[in-house]
Amino acid sequence: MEYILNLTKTLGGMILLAEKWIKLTFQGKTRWGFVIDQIFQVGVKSLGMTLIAGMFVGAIMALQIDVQLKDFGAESFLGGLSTSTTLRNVGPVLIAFLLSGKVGAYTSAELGTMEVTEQLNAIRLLGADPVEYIILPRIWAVIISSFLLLIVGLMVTILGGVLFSQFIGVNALSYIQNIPRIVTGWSIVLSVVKSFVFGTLIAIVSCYKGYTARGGAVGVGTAVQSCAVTNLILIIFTDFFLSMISSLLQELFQVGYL
Amino acid sequence: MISVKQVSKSFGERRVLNQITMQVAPGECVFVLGKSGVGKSVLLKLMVGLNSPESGEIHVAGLKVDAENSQTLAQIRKKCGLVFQFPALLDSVSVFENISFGIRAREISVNPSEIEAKVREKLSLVGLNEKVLGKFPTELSFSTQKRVSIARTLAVEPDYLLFDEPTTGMDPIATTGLNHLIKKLSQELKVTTVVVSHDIKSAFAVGDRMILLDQGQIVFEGSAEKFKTSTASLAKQFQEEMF
Ligand SMILES: Nc1ncnc2c1ncn2[C@@H]1O[C@H](COP(=O)(O)OP(=O)(O)OP(=O)(O)O)[C@@H](O)[C@H]1O
Ligand SMILES: [Mg+2]
Repeated sequence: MEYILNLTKTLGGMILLAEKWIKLTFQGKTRWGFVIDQIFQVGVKSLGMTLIAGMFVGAIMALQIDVQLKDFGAESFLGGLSTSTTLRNVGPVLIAFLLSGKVGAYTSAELGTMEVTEQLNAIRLLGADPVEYIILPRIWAVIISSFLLLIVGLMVTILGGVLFSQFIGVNALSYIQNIPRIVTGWSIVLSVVKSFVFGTLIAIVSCYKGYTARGGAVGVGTAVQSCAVTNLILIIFTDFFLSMISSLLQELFQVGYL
Repeated sequence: MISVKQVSKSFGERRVLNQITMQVAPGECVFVLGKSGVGKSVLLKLMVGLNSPESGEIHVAGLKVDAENSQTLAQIRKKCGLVFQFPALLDSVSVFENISFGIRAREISVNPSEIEAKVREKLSLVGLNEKVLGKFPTELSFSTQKRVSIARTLAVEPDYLLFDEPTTGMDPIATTGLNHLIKKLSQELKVTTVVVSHDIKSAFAVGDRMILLDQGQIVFEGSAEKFKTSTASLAKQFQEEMF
């Protein structure tokens, strides 16, 4: 019961923060120089990890789907099927998980520390709004870097699939040729939309959790932990939700397959 | 003028401040003393609306401190400077950025050379070398950070200065220098000052008046002379520290 109460409180707080984020952005309060700085701070440092992880996600999907296709003697569909599944679901979710661990934890720990060491209070007293000065650029930095990393990560998953298909005796060329037969523009749009939504979620959750941390080092620890859990839950939940909407729309407009 | 009227504040079950009433006249320098955990820092934060009292009222410069009323609160904060107990410097930016932060945020000056002049002036007031300007807070010792944070607060040239243990951890020479500075600000510039301190010598040297807190209440209030002869038991313990 308390858990549900907390979750509702968190959601409410996050919505308020998101509202303020949008409002301040439209008022032109974002310091874009600082955003770019932050993108380098958090985004670029996560690139290596994303590349490696993306590679393996692609490989795992190829392997798994190959096992299933073999039973039906339909290995020639491997390229298309594994790429489609990766792009639409597994890729964005897994990479978003990784980023919530890296970018999300970094951001919530940084903001949490600023809160418990009274840096945010100092900003308030000196006459600035910490949401505008500290949070706003970080939200944008996390959204943009998560989004870009997700897109790069997803491209690498395709590469991972291609490379791995070699090991399991599927010709790389036929793997690639099979991709456009199954992967439609819709799959790509869906994965881009998911990447953006997950990036936004990670940004809002991490900033909110850091901003509301209280009570010393323990408070920061709790905030980071709760940030991780909330991110995972919300990513899974929105993934399900977006996938559902996508199927409904697909049926409605009769576009794409799978 | 800072006026605190019957203010109480609890955290959970524990009542930290119980019906506190005190006033600080314009240009006066009041020292607040008391054991650790008695609520001195909480009292300072209440004065600038970083905490809200559960009952009672606080007025600063005739305006009621109310965390809900962000407009008035901004007006009050514009007149105030608070030196936190822990330096609370922004650790992602340099010392220069830290000290100039308030000047920019409050739009006291937008002229870069003017801002720089102000920053250098305040830095020298707290006895620091200009070499620290390019450093980041984490590269500095605690007491240097503390001095930077004092410079940052002085940079906005507030009418009300609140210090939370400004000299704790500082060497005796820096302590004396800072005491002179506090005295000068209150006497010459008529800055209304509240200093929370454990340093009874500083209180005697600088304070116009002393307030001693114990178990959520004011157990002594008055001049240094009066403090020396006070019979309140905590005041006696503090006196022993002095002599
Ligand atoms: N945000 C908070 N949440 C819960 N309890 C708090 C909070 N802030 C202060 N307290 C409690 O209020 C009491 C008074 O704290 P305060 O920091 O004002 O003490 P202090 O007199 O400044 O002590 P010190 O001399 O050690 O700085 C302490 O028991 C502290 O635990
Ligand atoms: Mg204190």
